[in-house]
Amino acid sequence: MNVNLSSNLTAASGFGPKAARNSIAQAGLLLVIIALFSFFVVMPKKAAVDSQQSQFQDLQAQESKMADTLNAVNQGITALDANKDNISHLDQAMPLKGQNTDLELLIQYLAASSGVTVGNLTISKQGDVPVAGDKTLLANPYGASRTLQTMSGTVYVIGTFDQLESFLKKLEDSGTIINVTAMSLTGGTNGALNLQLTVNSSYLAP
Amino acid sequence: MPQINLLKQNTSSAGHTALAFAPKILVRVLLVVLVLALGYYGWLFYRGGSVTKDTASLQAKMDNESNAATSVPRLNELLTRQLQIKDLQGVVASHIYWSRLFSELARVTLKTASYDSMQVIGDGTIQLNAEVPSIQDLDKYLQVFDLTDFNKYFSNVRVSQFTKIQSAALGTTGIQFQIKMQYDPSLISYSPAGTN
Repeated sequence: MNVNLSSNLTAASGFGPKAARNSIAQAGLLLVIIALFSFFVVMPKKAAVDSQQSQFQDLQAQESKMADTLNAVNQGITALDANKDNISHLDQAMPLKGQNTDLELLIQYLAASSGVTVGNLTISKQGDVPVAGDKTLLANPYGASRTLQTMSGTVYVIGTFDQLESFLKKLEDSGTIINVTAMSLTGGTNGALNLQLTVNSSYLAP
Repeated sequence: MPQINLLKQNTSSAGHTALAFAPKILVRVLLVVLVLALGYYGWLFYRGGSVTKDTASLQAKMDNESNAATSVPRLNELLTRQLQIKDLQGVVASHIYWSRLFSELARVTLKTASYDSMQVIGDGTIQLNAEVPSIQDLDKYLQVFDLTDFNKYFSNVRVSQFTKIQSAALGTTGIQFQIKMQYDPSLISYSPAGTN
């Protein structure tokens, strides 16, 4: 009797062709499981987490900006108290109410300090906005929504060339911004010159 | 006696045995990959939860900051001041300094000439009525504007008319003329840091 122990031993020890076939089947099955698991479970989860992470980073950037803004606001409030003189100049340069009498008084003062004679001075502004006694505004002076507005007028003064030049320089360098939009200079009597200016000035009012 | 050939197959090569092992090794490697994939998924799950928690915490912090920002005392005043500064910058940038035109015109004008009137027109044109003692002086007056030292800010000088007159300003006869010229707007425009 011929007994082939070698092939029997191979089968028994799991190294036979059948075991190999089983292993290949298992490997194939595992490959399929890994592929399906990766494609349908892991990858969608990763995309979701990446998206969450991205949103989180956006929020972090927003929060950082918000914190900076809050910090800047607090610094600004501190600066308001520390720069009262500058704020006073700011209020003069860009008044928070359009009172044409203030501008007329200023121009008259500048004319007097330059030695010119004011022949005529007219300042007007558009709209029918109260310039005094507005109780809502008085209760909350900074609560109103403001826009840049302009009052305009004409100034007619008489003086020598030097006086007129001095007056013009004072107008230009005034703390309240006065723009000369048109100018006419003509000869007058006794060597005097007539200067006619069209001026405007801006203010920030409700 | 039966012949038992115990060694018949043992003569096969070592490569054949390795080939027999390969599927098993592959299975084990794939098992490791599967375990790693599961571990990665677990980490993603944990990370997702962690990010969600952090996001909620950050959102709460932002809400607090937002509330704090809107309840800052004097916020309206600060915003008004900022608007004032912003608008003022625009107004200052367009501010015009006409007096510089006076100085420059005086510098380039012939000493024997005098002006009766001056009108500045918004498009960069200046119109002047002037007097000089003679035609020769008028010629010199105009020649000045051909010199580079004197025509930096003025150009295109046009004499529209000139007449001989008995001049009160000069106390004798003279030539009265009307001219128009262009001026350089940069002469009268605002220049930061006082460059003019």
